[in-house]
Amino acid sequence: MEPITTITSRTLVLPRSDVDTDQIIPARFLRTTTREGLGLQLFSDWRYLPDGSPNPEFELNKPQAQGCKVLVAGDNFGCGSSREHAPWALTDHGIRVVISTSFADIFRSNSLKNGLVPVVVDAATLQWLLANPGIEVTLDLATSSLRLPGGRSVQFPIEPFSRYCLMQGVDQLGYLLSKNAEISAYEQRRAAR
Amino acid sequence: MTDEGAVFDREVVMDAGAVEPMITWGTHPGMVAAVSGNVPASSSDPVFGKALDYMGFAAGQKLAGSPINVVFVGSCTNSRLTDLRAAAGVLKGRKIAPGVQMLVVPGSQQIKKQAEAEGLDRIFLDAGAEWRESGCSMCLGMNGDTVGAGQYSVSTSNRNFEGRQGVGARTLLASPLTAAASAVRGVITDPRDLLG
Repeated sequence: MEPITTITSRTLVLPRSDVDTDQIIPARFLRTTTREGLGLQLFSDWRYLPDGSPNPEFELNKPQAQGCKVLVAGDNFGCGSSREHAPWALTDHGIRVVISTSFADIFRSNSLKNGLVPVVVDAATLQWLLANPGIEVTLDLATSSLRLPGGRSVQFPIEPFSRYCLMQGVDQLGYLLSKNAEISAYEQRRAAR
Repeated sequence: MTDEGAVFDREVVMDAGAVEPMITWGTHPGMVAAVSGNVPASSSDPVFGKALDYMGFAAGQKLAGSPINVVFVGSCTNSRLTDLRAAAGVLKGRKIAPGVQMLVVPGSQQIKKQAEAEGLDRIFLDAGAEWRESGCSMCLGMNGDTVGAGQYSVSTSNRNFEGRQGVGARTLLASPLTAAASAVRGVITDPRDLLG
């Protein structure tokens, strides 16, 4: 995974609450063991018309959505099934940050292990972000803050270990592997006793 | 069991006897009503109207008696041996309604063997249901087990989001008893009507 320090992007606004993982990536696309390509099916049932062509009404298909790394959505984002493919599909599409007032627990946990930063903001800030699509924001992981236009900045909660992993570009296993030398030394000492 | 003398943040007392069989009418698990009741006439839920459109229901309409197409007894939520016994208890000596497809998917191979040792598989098969291998199956439209667009599925799984059981599929979450009773009548049915 790519280490994250700061991410600056225009926002892609999805003004919907309770976006569930069946909408993020429908179950019929889960028959894969790799993450690559899942982004093509991100929000598939909203994004494509029955004939397979892009739905021009859907936010993701609008010209201004291209290249956005920050998604802003309504309350309770990522509810529903535990599928890890949900953050995979978002990151494969290029989304690195999701901003909402709350996230479903499992989705949030999956995101933190897959290089996707869930940013919880208060209701007033979310309302402002929803009302101002396409503005430029900057995520700053070192300070756990989101910088908004006009010099405004809001803090968001994130566990220190998750933040460390995101900034190093590793997941929990990657963190353990980075301690391989210490683990081996410990095992040798233990065997010698 | 909780430790003796444990202190709780909050205690909630529920009268389980007063809880009726429930069924969902919308597109998230919170959109739920008594099987003997009605779709709410109105709601503060922002997606109320969208959910009704997707489900093909009218605000305030009665739930019992509404036609169904598919019944799925399975998923990690409701496919224990006790769930299969409950469903079989309703189906014993009965047939599922013509035109209804019913899948029974045990929670594991162990449960499948136990159910077969009790003869539950025979009850399901004699009633006209399919007795399947354990797996995710129709809970999320896996293994080719999907519900057709616009069709109604009474399902003992725990997710009823749009498209969950297939593109355009309409999922009604309910207990194994309600699912089995609805399979027999071919319409949403309060299982107490069949259990006497």
